This record gives sequence, C-alpha cells and structure tokens, in this order.
Amino acid sequence: MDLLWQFLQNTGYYLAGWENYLMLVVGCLFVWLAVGKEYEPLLLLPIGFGIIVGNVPFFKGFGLGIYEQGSVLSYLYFGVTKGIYPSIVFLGLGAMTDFSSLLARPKLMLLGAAAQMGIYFTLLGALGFGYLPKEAASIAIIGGADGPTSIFLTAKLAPHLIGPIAIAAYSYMALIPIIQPPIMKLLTTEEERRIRMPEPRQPGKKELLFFPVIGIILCCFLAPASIPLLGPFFFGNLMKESGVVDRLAITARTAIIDTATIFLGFTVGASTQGDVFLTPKSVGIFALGAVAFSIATASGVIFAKIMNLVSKEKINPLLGAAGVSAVPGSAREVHVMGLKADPNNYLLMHAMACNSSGVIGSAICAGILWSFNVG
Amino acid sequence: MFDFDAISSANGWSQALAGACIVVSGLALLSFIISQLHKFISLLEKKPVATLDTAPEDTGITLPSPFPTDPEALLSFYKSFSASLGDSFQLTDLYKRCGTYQIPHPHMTIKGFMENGLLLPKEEGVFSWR
Repeated sequence: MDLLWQFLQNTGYYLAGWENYLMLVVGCLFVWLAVGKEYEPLLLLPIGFGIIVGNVPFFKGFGLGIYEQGSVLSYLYFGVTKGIYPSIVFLGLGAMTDFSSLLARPKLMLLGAAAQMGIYFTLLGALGFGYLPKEAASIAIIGGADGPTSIFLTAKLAPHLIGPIAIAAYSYMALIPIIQPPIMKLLTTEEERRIRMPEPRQPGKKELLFFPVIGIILCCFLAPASIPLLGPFFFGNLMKESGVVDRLAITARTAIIDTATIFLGFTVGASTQGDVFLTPKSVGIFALGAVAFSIATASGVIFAKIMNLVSKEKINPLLGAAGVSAVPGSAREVHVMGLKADPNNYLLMHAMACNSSGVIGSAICAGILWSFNVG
Repeated sequence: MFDFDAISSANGWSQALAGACIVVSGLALLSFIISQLHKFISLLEKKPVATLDTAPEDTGITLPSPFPTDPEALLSFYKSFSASLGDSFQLTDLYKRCGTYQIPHPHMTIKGFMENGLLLPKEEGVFSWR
C-alpha cells in the first residue's frame, strides 16, 4: 500500500500545479495555431509540443528536467544555452537566401536598418521599467523579429530569460499577419500603397559571389560580436552562390537547418516550466516584445516615407515593414497588402530584399548589444 | 513606474544612440558598396560599365495607359510587340523583348499566360501564342 501511495505521489497528477496546467493550455494553443491555423507551423509546432513536454510535472532529482544536470533534455538544451543552434540556423538561412533583389536595388537595405530602431527604443523602455542592462538588451532584440538572434543574444547576456524571450519572439513572428497590417495601414495612404516598384535588374553571377565576402568583412569588422551569426550566414550564402558545393549547400538549407530548428524549438518550448516561466518579468517581456515589434514595423514604414521625400524614385512605403527580419512572413504580408491596394502590384521580391537586409541588421544589432554589455 | 534615471545610470541613451548610428551607417556603407559592385566587376573584366537605368530605346511601341489587366487585352498587346519573333519563339527572347519595352511584371504575366493556355508549348523550349 505504501509503495502504491509513494508511486501516486510521484505522478504528474499529484505534482501538477496551476502553473503547469496554464502552460499546458499555452502549449496546446501553440499546437493548434500551428496545425489548425498554419501560423508558422515550423516554429510553433516544435515549441508548442516542447511546452507540453516541459510542463509535465516530475519528481525532482531523477535527472529528467531540462534544468537538471545530466538529463537528456539538458544536453539538447546545451545547443540553446551556448548559442550553437542559432549559428546553425543562420548557416541554413544563408544557404537559402537569394540576395538578387537586394543587389538589384541596394538602397532597400536602408529599410532593413531603419526597422532595427524598434530594438533601441525597446532597450530604453526595458531599462526605464527597471530591467537590468543585460536583461534589457536581451528583451530589446525581440524588436529584430528574429528568433535565433534573440536566443543567441539572450544566451550570452541573460540566460535565465531564454524561455520567455524565445517564446515572445517566436509568438510575435507567428502573429505577423495580425500585428503588422494595422500598423502598415495606419501609416500609409491608399495612394502610397499603390506605388509600383520597377522590375529589378538581374545581378550577375560575380556580384552574387562577391556579396557574401564583402558582407562578412564589412559587417563583422564593424561588429565582431556578430561573427557567430553572420559568419555561418554568409558562408551558407557563398556555398549556394558558388555553385561548386551544391551538395553542401543543399544539406545546409534542408537537413541541417531542419535538425537545428527541431531541437531549438523543442528545447526552448521545454524550457518554459511553469514555475520558472510564469513570473512578472515574463509578462513584462511579452508586453515589451509587442512594443518592440510594433515600433520596428512602424520605423521601417516611416523611414521609407522619409526616403520618398528626398528621393526621385519613389519606394512603396509598405516595404519598410519588411525591414524586420521575420523571413518570409513580413515580406509575404507586405506583398498581400500591396495586392489589396492594387491587384497587379507585386512587391514580394522587393520585400524579400528588405527582409534579408533585416536579417543582417538584427545580427549586427545583436553583436553591438553584446559588446556594449559584455563583462 | 517608468524611471528615466534608470536609463541614464545604465548608459541607455548613449547605447541606443550609438547602436542605432552604427547599424544604420554599417548597412548604408554596405548598400553603397554593393551599388558600385557591378561597376567594379565590369572594371575587372574590362567591359564597358552597364548603366542600371538606361533610357528606353525609341522602339515605336508605347505602353498603353492604363496598362491592361484583362488577360485578352494583355495578350493582344504582348502579341503586338512580339510579332517580329515569328509564330514560334523561345521564352528567353520574349523576356528580352519585354525588357526592351520595359513591360511591367513580365514573369508573372507570362506565367499567367501559360497557366491559362494563352501561351502554348510547341516543341522543346519553343512556345507560340494561342
């Protein structure tokens, strides 16, 4: 009888608290959003199921939990805490990014820079609300709308916040179709949304080959702390564009990035154990994350409008919203909104140019914030 | 609640300002360099520099205004400027012709023609209008 009672005391039903149940609901919500609504399923499904797994209560000391030394989950989580998975994801991302449209119209890169302003406004906000400088920098990077970059920087500066920051970053990336359109609509007129972009020229093969080499030298000389992200990113792109290592490039943009995404999503989800995750700080992070994302979108759009004031060639200001590095969600949203204003206005390629420069911009910002807060 | 002193004591203002300036100037420099890249490559290859925004040649064809969106009207316009390609032509020639006349969104339009059976494949690599 004692043995049975002891067993019952070790079951999840006995050990579960309200935090676990709440997080299980959140996990199920993520799974439903991924499967039922197809909102960023590649991210939300592993994270959602990870949340469910991470919130099954267990008897402490068995070496089961993600925060327990020697557990299987803790070894998988090692790739997150040491910033390994984000680097691998960037390798695959580079191997699948086509910079043609950016090379055809380099000034769109400025929109990728402008959209990073969300990061710095949020840095000020987080500091003002009492977060420590390293925590504030980690929260601010959510404004870059780049999950791997957010996880990378948080792992370096405030590892105790990886769970909430990763969940906030990925949630807002999945909610792009809900967050971005109202901001774009509010800041642009119907006439501006109808501005057509000229067909981009096709850059030569040598331009595409030179770009990753120039990019890595220029960006990493400026912010050396972004090497772990931009190094693999531009290397992946060079593999793709060189055409001489197709096997490697294909593996990087399929098997490697997929494997990293699975473990990244799953372990980040599993790190959200209710007792660790549900704190007032997490609530603040979610609120500041939403602000960061909105300011990033708005600053991109406003900067595009400013460029139109001084430039002869008009840019569709919707493209500014694609300056955040949520690839390809924000580019898709810009394209859809452009089509709503004019069914023959195809903005996708131009938006992808802004998107890819946003990826570079947010990685540089991560490097800058890391070097500002190191030590 | 919101403490401006906390921002100042953590060097927040200077971090934000310096960070923003660094990322904007870095990407602006990269943007400038890649905008000159094709010139540099042309120089390496000792070819004349291709200008990006060449003025359209006087081809005798004027783009209808407003540009047609109706598939049939688009088809007749495409037929008119591609007539000299002959009954059968390669898609690359058609794209080049679109480039010459600065036709907007040729890839999407030609794809639409093919999907709607207005541009028909004949033999390997050769197409003809319906």
